[in-house]
Amino acid sequence: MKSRIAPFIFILFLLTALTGCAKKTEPVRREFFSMDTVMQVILYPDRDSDPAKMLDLAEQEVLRTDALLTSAMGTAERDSAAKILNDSELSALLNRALLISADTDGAFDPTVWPIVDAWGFYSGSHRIPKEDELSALLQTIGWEKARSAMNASDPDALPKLDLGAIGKGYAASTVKEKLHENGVTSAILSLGGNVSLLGSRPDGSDFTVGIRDPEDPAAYFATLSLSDKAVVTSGSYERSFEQDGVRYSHIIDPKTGHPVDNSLLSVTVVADDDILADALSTALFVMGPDGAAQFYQSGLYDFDMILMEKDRSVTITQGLKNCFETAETLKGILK
Amino acid sequence: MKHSKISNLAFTGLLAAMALVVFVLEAQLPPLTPIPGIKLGLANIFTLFALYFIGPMWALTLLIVRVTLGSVFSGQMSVFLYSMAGGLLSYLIMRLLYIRMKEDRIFVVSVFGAMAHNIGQILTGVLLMQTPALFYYLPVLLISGIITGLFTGLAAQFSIKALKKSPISDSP
Amino acid sequence: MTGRNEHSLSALQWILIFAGLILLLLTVRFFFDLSDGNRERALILLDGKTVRTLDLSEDQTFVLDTGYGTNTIQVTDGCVSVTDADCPDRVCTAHGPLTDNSMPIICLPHHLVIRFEPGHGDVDIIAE
Repeated sequence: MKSRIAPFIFILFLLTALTGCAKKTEPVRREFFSMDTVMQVILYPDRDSDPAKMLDLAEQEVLRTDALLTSAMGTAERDSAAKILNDSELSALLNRALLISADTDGAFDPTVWPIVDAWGFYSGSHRIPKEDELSALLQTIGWEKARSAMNASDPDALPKLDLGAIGKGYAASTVKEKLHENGVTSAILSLGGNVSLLGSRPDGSDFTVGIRDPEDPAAYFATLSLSDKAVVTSGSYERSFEQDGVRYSHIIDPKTGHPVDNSLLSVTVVADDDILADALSTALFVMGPDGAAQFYQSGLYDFDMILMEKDRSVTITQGLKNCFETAETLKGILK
Repeated sequence: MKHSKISNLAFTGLLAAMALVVFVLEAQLPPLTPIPGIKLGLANIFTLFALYFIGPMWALTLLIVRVTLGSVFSGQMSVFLYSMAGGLLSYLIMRLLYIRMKEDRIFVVSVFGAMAHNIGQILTGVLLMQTPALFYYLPVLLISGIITGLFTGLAAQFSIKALKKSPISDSP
Repeated sequence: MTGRNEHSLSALQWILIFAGLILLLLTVRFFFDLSDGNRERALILLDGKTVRTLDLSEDQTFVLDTGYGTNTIQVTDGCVSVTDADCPDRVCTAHGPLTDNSMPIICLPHHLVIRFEPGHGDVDIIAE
């Protein structure tokens, strides 16, 4: 009987050996590390521009933005608070962030930083803060405080801020602008997984963007065919920790100070504006599926979204109807 | 079983020692295939042997001792969880089949045990590494389980058959 | 040792069942999409998280510190392989070059997985 099985083993290993490796190159790529994550720039060069120079340009712009945001980060000190209010670029960005905070009723809040820190998501040493610690911290945060400090130009009243919450979105928008000014018509940015598309493929067709499967890091559950859009996905899979059988996600609800725990696995926002896509993906995740649907239907902003819930059902919005493909069950199309 | 508790204990200890030696030796061999989890699993011969020759609880004891000490001795502490999960699931299946299968069908018990062992390992891997892609290995691992299980099962079966015939079987 | 029924299946029947099972599993294995993945790019995953993506058109060799130990990863001629590792079993080095996503390179002791980036090359980028 051994001899009966031997041929099968032989076939098995033949099968695995049959497929080889192949290579093919077309666009130029660069990958580098910034903002604590992997940045990727993919560029389809045309005859006129020097691709290496364009990649340099993109990388430098990301690093510049990172340095700018880092200088305003942490911001317990009066200096950096004053810097935010005096630097026109930073104050414009903060202003933008606070507008989105107001419009999302605080679901997006750049002042939530100290609470995220209390849960150990910045240091990596995760812990569960005590209730009284959280309620004390909740007293100190709030986008309204930042708003009034800004209106009064009072750096002392400015709460601790994390502009990094929209940092990748902001970097994407400035990099795209720089590339566009220099005549690049076709490029893809992936700043820590935040995708931003400049133009379309050189042949004029749409880019295909895969949406990461929240339950499998090496797979995607849907594809979108798009040009000139920002695609940002937020999910608890990005960073989370488990203690005593409970999983805590890094997305904190600014109202409760606790990690968001609703039926959502991930939220993907598709918008023209990178900053909006970045901020909304977090805000909609905090709102949960019903809140997100209501927010979409309020028509306050022009965007589309994909919601994936824990039962793996998928909800999309009207605007994606014709460019969206998935093998999962489509629960509904929001109008 | 005619054996006293003390002789069972001594016998299990002896088997555990032999299983450990075999386990550690096997861990020193270069990998048979580039697939994690595929190995002969010779140590399982002793678990099967204990299951049929001494009794289920002794086999479980043997398994736990062998997996724990084996991980320490072979310096593979990092794979302790995989071995334990695979071992316990395998034991559970073999224990259930033991109720139905007589001593001339130990190879059947062994094949299913080996497959359960590989399933347990994959599940542990998927949970620990959060990588569902490991499931792709399942068919290959199950095939390997059938073949190696057959081999170890027959080894245990022939040993028991030989020992049952010999006069020492009543006083181990 | 009593209470067990007489066996309804003969030893030969069991062997045939196992042979059938092997055939069935081989078929299942065959239907896994062997061409799955973008063969130009590979992902390095630690505990399920992508820590690095490799462009397979660029030859390179580097030592990856996984936090559990180190693996030397080599890219040559469009193929990625693990050439050295300080793990106890060294299954990862025995794997040879990565050929398809049904057989990722795995180093269990170091929680390391190397596989092709998902997509048949028809996806330009993944949002995550």
